[in-house]
Amino acid sequence: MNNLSEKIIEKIEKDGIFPKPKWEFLLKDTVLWVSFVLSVLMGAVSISVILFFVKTGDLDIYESVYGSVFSAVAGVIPFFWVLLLLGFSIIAFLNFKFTDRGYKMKYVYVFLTSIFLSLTIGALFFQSGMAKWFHGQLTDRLPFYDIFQPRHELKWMRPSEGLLVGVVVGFESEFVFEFKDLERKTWLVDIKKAKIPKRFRPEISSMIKVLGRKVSEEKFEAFDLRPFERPAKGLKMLLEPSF
Amino acid sequence: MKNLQISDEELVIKTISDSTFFAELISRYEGKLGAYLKRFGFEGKDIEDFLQEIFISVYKNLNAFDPKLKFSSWIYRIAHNYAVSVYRKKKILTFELTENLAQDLRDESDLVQELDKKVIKELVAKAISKMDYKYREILVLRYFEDKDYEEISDILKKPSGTVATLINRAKKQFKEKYNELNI
Repeated sequence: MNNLSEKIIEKIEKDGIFPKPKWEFLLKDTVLWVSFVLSVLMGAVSISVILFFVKTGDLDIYESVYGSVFSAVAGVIPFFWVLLLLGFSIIAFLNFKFTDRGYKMKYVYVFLTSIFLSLTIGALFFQSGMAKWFHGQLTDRLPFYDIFQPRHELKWMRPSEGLLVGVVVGFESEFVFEFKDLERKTWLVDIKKAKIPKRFRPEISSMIKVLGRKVSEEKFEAFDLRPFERPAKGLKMLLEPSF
Repeated sequence: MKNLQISDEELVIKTISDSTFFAELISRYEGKLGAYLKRFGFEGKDIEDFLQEIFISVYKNLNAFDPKLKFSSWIYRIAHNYAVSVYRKKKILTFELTENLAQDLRDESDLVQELDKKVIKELVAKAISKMDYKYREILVLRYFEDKDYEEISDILKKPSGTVATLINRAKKQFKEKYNELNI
């Protein structure tokens, strides 16, 4: 034994130094992998909600709802979720990079792979209807969540511009229903000339969006009728009996 | 304990259950790592202290060693990380040069073929001292420590493609610094 190894072995013995147990390193690696998977899943949730917002954003009638393409993009994209997606992609990337062999893969591929995984799983979440559930749960349970979301219902609360959003509260005839808008004003909506999506039948308590024309202070003529699919606190409150 | 005819990887396994085997690992790497630290600009007593800390860190982390890696890559990684942390604190600028680096780099550049060897050696050392740290460290590993791209990738924890790019950029920067000094 030379001088240095003698010193080191002596220090190891004197200070009671031992190799750290293997489980510590395994635990660290497991935590990194679990965090990676969770980040990818949270990225997938973000993707699914973004897709849900785009699908329910009425882009087919963007001129009537938003006025211009730019306003439509700004009004449809949920930047809160886009930021979350970016955040979780970065966390996933860092987790993967710090795993035992994570450095072997090119950083750009790691980043793109995590986004690709989030996209694929997010598309599945969206297809299975989970995006609406996620958004609904957060709207109900997370304080201030809705403040950071595009307030789609407000875009539709412009009766003088032919946009109305609210809840069906009764039927006057086959083609005229009673409607309570977001500001609790009651309307009679004539849907005789309205385009209605297949498989959608307005019923009492249906939350709907009406594109049409204000005929008088109480009457509205609908040209286009569509369900309001996004969970929104304001609209839900209209359904409460005390409201 | 010396001259054990077993691989580094087997020695790691033995050391985990019996610390005296660690002496053999120390003797195998003491010289190499000492020279490596010297090339980073560390000197004399510092090197011995740093080696002691590096080997203690190696010992504590023996269970983290991945047998898919070469042990030498793993121990160089620990030494490298240690050198980097000290370098960041002290910003060491001097550079130890050996003839083989001067020769290797000279082969890369036809600018210097006609010059006197001693002058070249000094200029090369100065040029390397002026290089960015990230390029300097990669030249040290490639030309001093004679590590291949895969080993450098394992030591620096960077993808092999990035290592190749860094080496090319390092050579380019070396030539620029060298030319600046040689005008």
